[in-house]
Amino acid sequence: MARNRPSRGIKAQIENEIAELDRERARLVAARSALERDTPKRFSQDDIAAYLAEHPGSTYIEIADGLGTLARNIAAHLNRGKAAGRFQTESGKWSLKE
Amino acid sequence: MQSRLRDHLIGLADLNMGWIPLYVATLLGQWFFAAFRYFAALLAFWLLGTIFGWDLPAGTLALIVALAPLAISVATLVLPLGSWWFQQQEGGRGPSERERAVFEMAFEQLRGADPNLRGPRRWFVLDRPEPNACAYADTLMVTRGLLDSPAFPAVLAHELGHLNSSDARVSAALYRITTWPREPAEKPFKLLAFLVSGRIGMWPLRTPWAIYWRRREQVADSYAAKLGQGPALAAYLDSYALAGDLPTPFKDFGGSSHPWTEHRIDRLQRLGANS
Repeated sequence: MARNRPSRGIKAQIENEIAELDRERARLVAARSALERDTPKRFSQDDIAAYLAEHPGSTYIEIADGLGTLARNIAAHLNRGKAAGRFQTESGKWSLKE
Repeated sequence: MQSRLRDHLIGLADLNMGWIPLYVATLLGQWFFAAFRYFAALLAFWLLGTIFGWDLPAGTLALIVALAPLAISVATLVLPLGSWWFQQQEGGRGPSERERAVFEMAFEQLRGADPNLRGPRRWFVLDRPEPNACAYADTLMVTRGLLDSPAFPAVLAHELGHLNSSDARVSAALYRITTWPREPAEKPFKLLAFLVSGRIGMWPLRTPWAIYWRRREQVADSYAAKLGQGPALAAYLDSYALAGDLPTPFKDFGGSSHPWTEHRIDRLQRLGANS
């Protein structure tokens, strides 16, 4: 009897349980997204500008946290604002352009 | 992030010499075991020719099948090969505009610590909710969950530690030195697949390689700490990797590629305290 057989079985069982948890998580995330669609939160450059006026020198993560959203929801606004000369960044820290 | 090809070719300064003797030993072993692949391929081409009446150059084709993985493996060390295939194989996709923006911001944050920091030649997104990443050849794979995570700059710094050294290319070269089937096959093909795929040639050196890779994980952690991401990387490992650690008998002598997560956290915290 190979000694590694029992651990391989346990590993497969753990993998199955992880896969089941992944599916459950996907279901819950989908449900949460459906709920969030009822109260959509859209961010504009103005929201970010207002945050930066109070918190200059914030990283993109701090801005997202401060506005209670995901980084992907503010990242493009920050970049466009920078291109438009509204925001500036130095070493990853964002502020309003004076 | 896309820049000139020559910026991403491996340079002497990037080489960590420790892998060279191991790789040469692996390559020599694979030359020997390529013979199994040659005879298996020769038999397969001969059977195909006989059954279907095709006039196949069986010897030449078998030689290509036997030696091509070795040539591809060596080429992987110096050329940016195969990132498209890796992306297709993993089911990844190109980043959206906002994902690209997140990436650029995290990268810029790291560049604050090292203005000469190099980005990956190519990167793609895997639509998975858990935060994870890996470096392979010249390519970085990140999950959607990682891009949304506050840990992204820290994990990116760690992966850049692999990409900006020989690690990512050496791991790809080792993967490509073997062929399908890379997973254990069912009986009665188990032994044949083990011989033909070249996995048998990897087996004698799996412990030295594992020791090497565990050391390289620590080096990549140090790289992240140097970029100011030590505490953030420790927090990420604490939240997402620690739970995956299980009792592993004789871990130091086995094939485990990562050190104990708790030891990595310990080390990162010490590096953070000393910096």
